[in-house]
Amino acid sequence: MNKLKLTNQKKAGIIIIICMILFVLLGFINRNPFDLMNKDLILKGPSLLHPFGCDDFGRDILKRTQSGLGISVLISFFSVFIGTVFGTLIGALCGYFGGIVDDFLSSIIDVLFSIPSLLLALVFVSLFGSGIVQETLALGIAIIPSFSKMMRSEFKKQKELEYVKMAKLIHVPTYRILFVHILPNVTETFVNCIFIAFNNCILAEAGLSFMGIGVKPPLATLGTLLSEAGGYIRSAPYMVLFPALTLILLLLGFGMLSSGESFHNAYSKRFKN
Amino acid sequence: MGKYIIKKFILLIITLIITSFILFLIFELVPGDPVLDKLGTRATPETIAALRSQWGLDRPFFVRYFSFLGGVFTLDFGVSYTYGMNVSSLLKEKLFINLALSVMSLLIVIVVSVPLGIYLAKHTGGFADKLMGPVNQTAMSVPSFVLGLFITFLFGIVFRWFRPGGYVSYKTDFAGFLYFLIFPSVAIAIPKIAMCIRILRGNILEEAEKDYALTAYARGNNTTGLLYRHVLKNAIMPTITFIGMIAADMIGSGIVIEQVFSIPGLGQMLVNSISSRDYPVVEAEVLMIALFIMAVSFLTDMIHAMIDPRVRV
Repeated sequence: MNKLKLTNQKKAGIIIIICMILFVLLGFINRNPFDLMNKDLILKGPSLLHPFGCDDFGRDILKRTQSGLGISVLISFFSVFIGTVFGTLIGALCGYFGGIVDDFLSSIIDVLFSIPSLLLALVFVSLFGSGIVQETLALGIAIIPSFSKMMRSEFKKQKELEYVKMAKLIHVPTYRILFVHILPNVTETFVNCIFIAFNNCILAEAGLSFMGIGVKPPLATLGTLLSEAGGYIRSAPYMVLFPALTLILLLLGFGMLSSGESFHNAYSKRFKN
Repeated sequence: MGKYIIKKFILLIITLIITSFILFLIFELVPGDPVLDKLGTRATPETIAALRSQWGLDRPFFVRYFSFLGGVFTLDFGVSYTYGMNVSSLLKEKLFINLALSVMSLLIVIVVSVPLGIYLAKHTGGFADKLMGPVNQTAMSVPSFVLGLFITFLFGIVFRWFRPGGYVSYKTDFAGFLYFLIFPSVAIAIPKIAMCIRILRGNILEEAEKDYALTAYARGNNTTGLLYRHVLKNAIMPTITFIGMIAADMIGSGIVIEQVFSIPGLGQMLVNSISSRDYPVVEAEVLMIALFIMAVSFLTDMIHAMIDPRVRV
């Protein structure tokens, strides 16, 4: 069971992510409100009181980055949760039972797998409308295809193995075979998938809010901050710099945990014939 | 070979039909009526019926689906709800821009990553190889729109190599259009280059350890000959698959990058039509993008079959 070895790279990833979480939590003792506009501070550069500077409405960018990062991570967390639960379920059922339902579902999944998750999320946002809950749902659904494709192949491989056949022979209930016997044996893929999904989610979320169809103002995520900052890149480049660095660090952390793989190359690597 | 092409082509058509059906069904099931949205307070039973028949919404589901599917071949996707124009004439220009952007960044990826990947595999453990590890990991983590912002700042504002936001239409100045597109293409390409290098290097090293490589080495090949005559042919295959996949991804990054460089492409149109719930435009755009992705994967399969005869069987 305990096959998860931690390489140095993964340790570094974990440290980065812990730092990012601390950074968000420190936001609670930062007493500048994230939406307080102050016309004396408009486009003021970094100072001791406002280490990241102030934006075009005189809002403290440090606080906005902290709360934005928090919202991005929360959205991604719940989306990954939705994607994981449904993706694993669909993948497990398709891989384990096979048959015509599997043929049908996996042909749909194959198509959706090749469409970038940002684009899928865009389609679902257009259906649900924008807002924090809708965005989470859209991103969650967008991950399901990739996740279920990975899990399907794993379950398909496992079901041919001796231990599953034995379990079937002594009438272990199917749900127990699926989630108590097989799932722990595919932990490595499972965990890797979660990190890749997290990475994709943060990236897609940032992309969506960068295009202005993410959370609604006055809430802001990292993508919103960056798109606001884009207009002032000439006069206030620090507005871009700090949220961008935060986003890059966060993605770097998750990238290191998933060894920088994407769903596509993880899939092709694992299931090369 | 001919049989293989036909088989793949039929598969392409089937996928296209499934995708378009799912897409159409999804938009059919959305709550809310675009006719009522458009008319607002002016809605009377007569105006509703008139607009419905004008947009063809009074026809049965399957009739509308088949006319939508036919739109792929005749390039006629009906009329936009907000612009009142033909959807395909709205999309034509934007598609060209995005296609140019994707092709350009794909070229950059291939030209940079293939030689670099081979070089790094050949000099494993050397200084460049050690240096590339962390650089690669970082480059992979930078989203392309953030890179776009950095590039705008560095090359647009500091070096003044291009004017930020100064998009040149390809109709007025084609060379200027291509020159302007270099910057967004580089922004899209850099994270993909990092991934590609890593994959190619990994595959070459993996292939080089196999028995046939050892045999070839024993027969008197030197490293270079072994690499180019034997190993590379096998190692390049997964890389080609991967390049096909990133080509699909590029359309996705492209629609975000457009916002950074204010390019009037598919992305802006998609966002606008999504927020105004202009479904014919959204449907057509998503289908076009899906078609592009399928075409890329078809091409990837063809290239595979050309390089590796085993695939054709």
